[in-house]
Formats: sequence, C-alpha cells, structure tokens
Amino acid sequence: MDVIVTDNLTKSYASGWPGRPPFVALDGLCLTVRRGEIFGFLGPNGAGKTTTLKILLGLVRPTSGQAYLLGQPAGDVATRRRIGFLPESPYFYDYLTAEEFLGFYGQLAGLNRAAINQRVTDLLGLVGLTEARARQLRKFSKGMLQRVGLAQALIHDPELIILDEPMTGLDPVGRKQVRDLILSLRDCGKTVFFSTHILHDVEMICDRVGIVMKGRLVASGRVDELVRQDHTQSVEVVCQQLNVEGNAFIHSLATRVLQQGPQCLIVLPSPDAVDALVGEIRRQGGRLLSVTPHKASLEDLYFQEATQQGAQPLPYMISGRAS
Amino acid sequence: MKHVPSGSSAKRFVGQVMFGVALLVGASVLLNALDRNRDAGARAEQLAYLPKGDFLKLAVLGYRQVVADLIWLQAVQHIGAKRDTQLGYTWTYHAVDVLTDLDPTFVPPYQATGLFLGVLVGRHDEGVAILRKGIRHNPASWQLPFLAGYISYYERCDPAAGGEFFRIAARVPGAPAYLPQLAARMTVESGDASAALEFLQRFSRSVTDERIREALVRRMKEIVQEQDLRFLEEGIGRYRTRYGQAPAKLEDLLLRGIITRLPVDPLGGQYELNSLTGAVTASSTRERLRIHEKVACRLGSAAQSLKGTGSMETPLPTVQ
Amino acid sequence: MGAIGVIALNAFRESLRDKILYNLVLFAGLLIGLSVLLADLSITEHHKVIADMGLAAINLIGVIIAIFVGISLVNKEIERRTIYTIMARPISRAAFVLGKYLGLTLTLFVNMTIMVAVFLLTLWLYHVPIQFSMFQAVLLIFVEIVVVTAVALFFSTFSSTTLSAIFTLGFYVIGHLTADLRTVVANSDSGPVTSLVDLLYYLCPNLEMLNIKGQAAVGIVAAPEYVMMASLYGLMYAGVLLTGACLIFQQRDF
Repeated sequence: MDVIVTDNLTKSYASGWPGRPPFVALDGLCLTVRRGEIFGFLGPNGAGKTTTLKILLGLVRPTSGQAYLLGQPAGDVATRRRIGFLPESPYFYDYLTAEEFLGFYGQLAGLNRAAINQRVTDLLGLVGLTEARARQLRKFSKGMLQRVGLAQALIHDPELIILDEPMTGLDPVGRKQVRDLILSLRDCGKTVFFSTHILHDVEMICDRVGIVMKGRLVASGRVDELVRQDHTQSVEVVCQQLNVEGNAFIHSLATRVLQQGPQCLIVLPSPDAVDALVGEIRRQGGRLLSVTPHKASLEDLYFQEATQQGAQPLPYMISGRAS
Repeated sequence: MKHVPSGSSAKRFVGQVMFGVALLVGASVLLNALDRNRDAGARAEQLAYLPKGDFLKLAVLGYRQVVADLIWLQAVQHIGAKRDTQLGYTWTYHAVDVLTDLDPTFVPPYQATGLFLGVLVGRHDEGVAILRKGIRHNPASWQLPFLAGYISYYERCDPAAGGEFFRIAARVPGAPAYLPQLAARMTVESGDASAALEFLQRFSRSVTDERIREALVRRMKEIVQEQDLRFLEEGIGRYRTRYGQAPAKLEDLLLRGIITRLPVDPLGGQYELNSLTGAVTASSTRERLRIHEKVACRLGSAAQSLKGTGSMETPLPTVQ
Repeated sequence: MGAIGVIALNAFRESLRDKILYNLVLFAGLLIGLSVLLADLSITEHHKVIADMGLAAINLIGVIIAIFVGISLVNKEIERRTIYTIMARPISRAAFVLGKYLGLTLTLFVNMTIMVAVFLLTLWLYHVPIQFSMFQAVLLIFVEIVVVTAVALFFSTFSSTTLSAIFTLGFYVIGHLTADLRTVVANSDSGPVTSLVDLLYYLCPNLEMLNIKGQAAVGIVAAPEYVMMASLYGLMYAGVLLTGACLIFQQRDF
C-alpha cells in the first residue's frame, strides 16, 4: 500500500506585483512512497522539497493537484494523528523544558497522562537527552534541538514520519545517531520520508530515492537501480614492478595510465577488460596490488541532473507512479 | 490564499460565514436595544463624571488638546439638542469647564456654550462665567467679550457690566468699527430691544455654525415677538383708559385707531387676546417666561446693576 | 482536555514565562500609587480620584496587554515557525486560533484579578467606600478587553504585527467614538452618508457601551439588565471577530 501519493502537485506563489509572472515552486510533482520504506527526497536548495512537505502536512494548499497521506487527502486533521513531522532547523517554544515540550505535543496528539510520561522518558533516552530533561529549550544546542525535535515527531508513535533535512547542521556523531534512528524506525515497520540535499545520507540508508529539481521529479526509484542504469562502470587496477612504457596492448585497453614510481595505476572503462589486463600483467612479470570496480555514484547522477536542470526526462527515469 | 475547493470544506466555509453574520446581526440588535436604553441623556450624564480639569490634565499626558476636542464633540451634541433638562445644562457647563481647563485657547466652545447657556436657555450666570474664562485666556478675541456684553446688557439687564464688556471688546485690535457705537448705545439705554436685535444680527454674521445661527434667528424672532406683545399690551392699556373696558378682539385696536398696524407673529403663530383678562398671548409660544423676568428687571434694573458682576462669581453647583 | 484547552493552557504558560505580566502588574501598582499621591494633594475629591485612577489604570493596562500580546499571538508562531509542528498535529486551525485566544483571555483574567485586588486594597487603605458599582465597571472592563483581544487577533491573522497594532489601536479609539460620530453625522441631511455611517456603526464595536467607569467611581449602580445586555453584546461582537479570524486563518499558507 502506498503511504504518500501526490498527483500533479503544483504550487505557485503570486509575485506580489501585477504583471510579473508568479513564482512556481512545484510543477506537476508526482511521487509515491510505499509502506515500510525509507524514502529519500533529494534535491538542491530551492527545488521545492520543503513546499512539498508543507503541502503533505496541510500547511500550504496546492494550487492544483492532489496529495494523499495514508489514503486520506493531505490536510485531513484526523490523519495527522498517525504522522510525525520534524521541520527544517526546527524552532520550538523555547520557554518550555524538554519534558514539558514533549508533554505538550503528547497532549496535542491526544495521549493520556500516563502514556505521555512513559513515552517522554523512553524518547529522551532514545535521543540521549535524559539529563537535559528539565532544562529549557532556549539553553539547548542546535544538535540537541534537532534531537528533541525528532523525539517530538515520535511522541505519539506515528506510522509515517516526515523529516525535513533531519541531518543538516549535525556533527558526524549526531548524523550517525539520526541515521541509526531512522533505520531502527524502519525495522519497527514505520515509513520514513525525509528530504535532504546531502547525497551521502541517501545512499547509506534509503530504500528508494526521488530527485527533485525546479519543482519537478526528475528521477525516482531504488538507489541501486538508479545507479546501475547509469553508464558503464570503470575499474581501477594498481600493480607494481611493471613497465608500462611502450606497452601498446595495455594502452589500448586503458582509458588512463599513470606511472608513479614503482606503482602503476591503470583505469579501465569497463569490467570486461579486467581479465585481459590481469593476464598481460602476469605475462610481463608485474605484481597485482588491487582491482577496484568504481561504481557510478548517485552523486554522478545528481550532478548530471543538476547541470541539465531537469529540463528533459532522462532515459532511466522511472515513473513516479508505481502502483 | 488560494485554496482547492472541495465539497466539505466549501460547506464548512459557508457555515462559518453564516455563523459570523448571524452573530453580527445579533450584536447589532443588542447594540440597537442598548442605544435606546442609554440615550443622549445617559451620555450627558457621562459628562458629569468627568474629573476636574486639573486632574484630567495629569492623566491625559500630552494629549490635552485631543481630549478637549473629544469632550467638546460630546458636549456640542447637547448644545444642539432641542430639549434638555436643567441637569443636562449643568453637565454641559461642567464638561466645557473641564475641556477649557485642558485646552484654554480653544475658542469655539466658549462662544457656543456662552451663546447656548447665556442666550438660548437662560442660564445667564453660567454663560457669562464661561465667557469670562474665555476672555481671560483669549484676549485677542473680540467676539467673547462682545457676547458677554450682550448677555449682561439684554438678558441679565446689567448695563454697567455690559458696557464694561463692550469696552473690552472694542479695545481688541481688529474689532469691527461699529462696536464702540453699539457699545455706547447699549450703555445708555437699558434693555433696549432694537439694540439687542442689531447686536444679534451682527453677531449671527460672525457665527459659522449653522445650528447656532438658526438658534440666533429664532432668538431674534422671539425678541420681535416680545416687542409686538408689549406693543399690543400698551394698545390695550390705552383702549382701557379710553373706553373703560378691554377690547373684545385685537382688531378693535386697529378699528378705533389706537394702533396703525396689526403686527404679524414672526414665529408663524397668531396673537390672541384673552378678553376676560385682557392679556395677549402668541399661539406659537406657550409661555412668556422671559417677559416677566424682563419686567422685573426693568423695574429693578438700577438695583441689579449694582450687584451685577458680583453674582457671576457665585460658585456653581459642582456635579460629581 | 481537548486540543483547544491544551493550546490555551500553553499560551497561558507562555505569557507567564515571558514575564510581561509581572512588569505590567508592577505598572498598575505604580499608577494606583500615583492616584494615592494625587489624592493626598487634593482635599475635596480624593475618594473619587482614587476610584477613577484605579479603574482607569485597570482598564488601560488590560487594553495594552490585550493589544500587544493579542497581535503577536498568532503572528509570532508563524514568524518563529513554531506553528509548523503544531499544525502537523491533529488540531484544526480554528481550534488553534480559539485556543490561543482563550489562553490570552485567561492571562488577562488573572492579570485583572490581581489588579482589582490591588485596587480594592488601595481603597480599603484610604478608607474609600467600596461600591458594588465598581465591580460592575470591572466586569464591563473585562468584556471590553475580551473584545479588544479579539480585534487584535483578527487583524493579526492577515497583517503584519506592526500593522495589526495600528489597526487595533485605531479600532479601539473608534470604538469609543462611534456613538458620538454617528450623532454628529445624523444631524446632516445627506441620506446616503447617514445610512453608510449607520452601517459602519454596527460593524465597528461600540466600546463606549462598556464604559461605566465614571458613574461607577461615584457609586451609581447600573441597571443589571444593562450590564447583562452590554456584556452579551461584547461577547457576541468578539464572537464575530473570532469567526472572521478562524475563516481567514484557515485560508492561509505558512
């Protein structure tokens, strides 16, 4: 079952001056997120990620198109009981203590007093803020705010968790904690939908990815699918005690040959030529040090899209509307 | 602010609008009822609760003039009102006294209140008192002493005080040229109606407020009417001495050649003769209150002029 | 406890922790102290002056809080983006607006109770007779504050904080003048102008109806029907504004 479906979602903002064209933040976005997956919503700043999330949560009304969460139209009040949300660089009531803050959101979600106390204790432990329990949020660091915000999104044990740039502004340890938390949420059967402009996060933990550029979804699918469909992978071969000078065969195979002292780096355009090269190295009495297949990364894809500005649908684009 | 219309949200929207409109209608009905409950009289009462100017000055910070304007806005409604109670006049006086404490150089309230209290409703002492206060703070205005002079001279029958006021008015630079002359005439003849008429006529020309001008015109007509009534009474007196009895109707005076013309009531009524008592009345005016005052005043004008100005200093009832 | 209650209590907690109230309560103390000082200066009217000054201070401070907290009630949440996580919860926007409003009303009620207590203490200290009419005046002052809060909230749903402050102050001033302005215009003969002014008269609040401070200070008791009708009028008018605020707020993008 699909947890999030958007159909031709469009949002334009009036420019404020008559005669000027409106600013189009989203331009016919179609997106599907399936139950139980971690979906990374990738795009550069200003691509329309936050606008999409705001529409999903009913904070902004789309100019046209529809969005459904958990089978209900976006903005449905009752459905929000099953959704947790963490906005980008969150701002909270800084006059509350961590405990009061989480309690307040628990009350808003309709939890009873006993359940709130239990959840607050559990979540503060989960995000590592147990000692800061009675401290006011105005005395929190940015990383602590992000973590308490995450706890806020989870207070009512939602089925769907929507996170806007959850790892931005965190140190490496904090990023790892958030990544681990997202993975453990999936293990509990939750669906996690998060936006980011950092590829690394997506590659490491996402089941599926959508890439948005200029308000359009330019690519969507499994990370390995998106990457496999890209052009041929290269292979780097490092060897020793081999004189490649004047070896026409090696030069004909390789796209690049680099001699650095006793070591030699040979870059092959595809894995097909690896066997032939290894045979040649043995014949010449060289010592093979390593063979590294160089996978085309999501980064390559991302930059390719960014340079094309998402102007045309690409051959490997997978329809956003998988059923 | 655009939103995608959907059936249920549109229905809710209309429902909320209807609810709001229903509440507004309800509130308006209540306000209407409250208005009837708390009419102009009640608002005049509010004027009575104004704290004294000295205290109010402290409370209104730098907005004395504005507050004075606002109080004047309330008080002026009373000045325009056709009917009011004696208590209402007291409140009006209090309000204007307070507002002129706040803004002593605001001339129109002195003039309008002096005219209203001193000329139109017959509260001469208060009228003169407020004008005296205005003269003290606004020596450059000739209208204020001019009006005070008229009230003293004609309405209060105190020619000595009136003359004093006229002399003050005549000394103001830019005062009209006819002032000294009129002043001289008024000082000589006490309670002269034609001089009063001339005064009112000239004065009404310098008044810009339409309602006050109307009131002045009515006052002039009343004076003319009073003159007519006195003229007729005089004729009846002569008729009585000649024929030993009162005439049966007013036309008899004309027939017997006692008077040469029958005056027409300027207020649009009829002059009627009570043949039993020999008294003349105007159908347009119910009472001739002022005339009795005038008669008493004429008789005792000399005596009154002695204490004339002094009576103005008597403390007015302070309303809290 | 419903969502409205949760929001209301949190708004109340916010105003307590922002410490605005403490300062203004102190201010009330100062003003009432000033009235005591003035009363020492005057010999004749000092009872009336204490009552006048006290009631005026209660009214003025209540209105100031209502305006300046009222206009930032919703705007601050949007500007500081705290509203995102609130609106992501199962709460309708109307419930949010009403909750915020009730929270501030509760704050104002508590604040006013303290001010009235200080006021009564001052009266008692200076042997000024405590009149029933003063409680009537205080009740209507509270109704006025409820209306002014609704005005502030209404404007803040669609305009910036500064503009809302100006609009609300304007409404407050107009609210005290409508009746007089209407009477002035009623004297003019222009039919369309008169009916336009009548329309505006019913659209704007008539706050002067809720002002019985003057007579209350001298102990004149208002008719109970009057106090009841005037209170009902104020509450209904506030209801109109709240409905409008909810309507506009529901159409907004954040």
